[in-house]
Amino acid sequence: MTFINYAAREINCKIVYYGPGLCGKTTNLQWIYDKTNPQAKGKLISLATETDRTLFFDFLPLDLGQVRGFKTRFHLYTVPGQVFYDASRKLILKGVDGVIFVADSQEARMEANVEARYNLEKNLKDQGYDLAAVPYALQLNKRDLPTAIAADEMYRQLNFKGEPTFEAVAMSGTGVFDTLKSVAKLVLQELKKK
Amino acid sequence: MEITCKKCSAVFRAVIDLPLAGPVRVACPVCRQQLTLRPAPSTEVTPPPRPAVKQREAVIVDEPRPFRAFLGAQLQKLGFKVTLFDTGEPALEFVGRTSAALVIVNVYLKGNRLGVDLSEDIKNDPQLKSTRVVLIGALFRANRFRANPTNLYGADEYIEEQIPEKEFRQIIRKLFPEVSPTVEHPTETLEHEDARRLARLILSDIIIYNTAKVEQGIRDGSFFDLLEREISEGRQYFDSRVEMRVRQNSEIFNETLRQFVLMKREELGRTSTA
Repeated sequence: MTFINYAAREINCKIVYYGPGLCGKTTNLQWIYDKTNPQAKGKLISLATETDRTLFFDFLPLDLGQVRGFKTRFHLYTVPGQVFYDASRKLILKGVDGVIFVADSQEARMEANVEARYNLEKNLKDQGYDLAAVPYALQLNKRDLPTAIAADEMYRQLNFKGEPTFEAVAMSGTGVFDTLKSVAKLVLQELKKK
Repeated sequence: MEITCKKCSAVFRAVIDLPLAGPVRVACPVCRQQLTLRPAPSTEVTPPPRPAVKQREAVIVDEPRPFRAFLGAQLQKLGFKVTLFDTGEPALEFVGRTSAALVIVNVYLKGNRLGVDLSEDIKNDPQLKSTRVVLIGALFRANRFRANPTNLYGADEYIEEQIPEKEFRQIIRKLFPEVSPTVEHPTETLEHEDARRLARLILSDIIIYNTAKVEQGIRDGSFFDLLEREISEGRQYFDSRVEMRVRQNSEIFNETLRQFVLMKREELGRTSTA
């Protein structure tokens, strides 16, 4: 749910990177953070548990254009991908304006991708959202790996509603901003409708 | 039962469990004569020892990969003797020699003969009339939005990678109705399938977060020691999500672990010999 700060004339939007464990959600965020103008971003916060896993969220405000004279500030979050942390994932989806699903292209992780996609749908529903109506993009990450399966095959298994889909190598930044921009655009379109 | 006294010919009833397990003594209520009832001599003939049933021969022709190990393990559980081949020619020679009951072959094979050629060779050989052939599709889990192939090159069935265990067993039982339906997972339900999937996902997470430990553990046999904490954590989560009656029945988590270790061993063996 978009939060409007009238005093600062800012519209705050929340975009969540979703996907199975180690699919590259944090790498996406890290890349965006590193390549963003220091004046335009806040602190990158990573909360981890004693198990050394990226567990809670990375937080990154970004300025990306204006809507009716209001600046838009995007807050980017990741969720913990391991199947264990379902409660945290559900919590982080609260108030979401857009979702980027990062899929791992490795054959061995296809089942985890499919599960995470269904889990996203379910957790959104539990929070009162419908994935069909939420601005959404699919990123096929780790395309450089030799064990990557065909993009067409991944799309066939993971595509939900004909969403914008991007091939990416988040480690080198390929496809990272394209994916973010596509969802940011969809979020802004939704805002302008309201 | 009704008993006639041998001495006074009185007929009386006695409550005795039949058949008799051993001699029973009763007294005639009229003359007090003691009578001994003995079990009837057994007419049962000890059956001659059954001739040893020849194990069905199954052949899997596919590149050495986890899926081949999975198929092999499943067939062994169903009572087949499994022989593995990487290429078509030696497999065909073996099948011709042994008249194997079942051949599972990948559509594409290295070497001169494709899987579809092998299927046609077997089906065109009158000596191998009873051999059943199952083709493995070349696509990865193309289970959605996809029609079944129209030409099976003579094969009896068609499967694809990632076929669920239950479905695979059903196909084998369709081809071999005499295969016991109770060899494994006799009460397989949707709950079991879900539990199995959850176990695979937990394990998949453990593996991807601990690749170095996993490889080392598989190589030197210390897998369960090195990953003790992660496995225990995974099992706890599994137990918290799966009802006790489901996990107790089938030891799903342990079985998934065992299958993974077997597959990984084969994978690493292949890498080291490549």
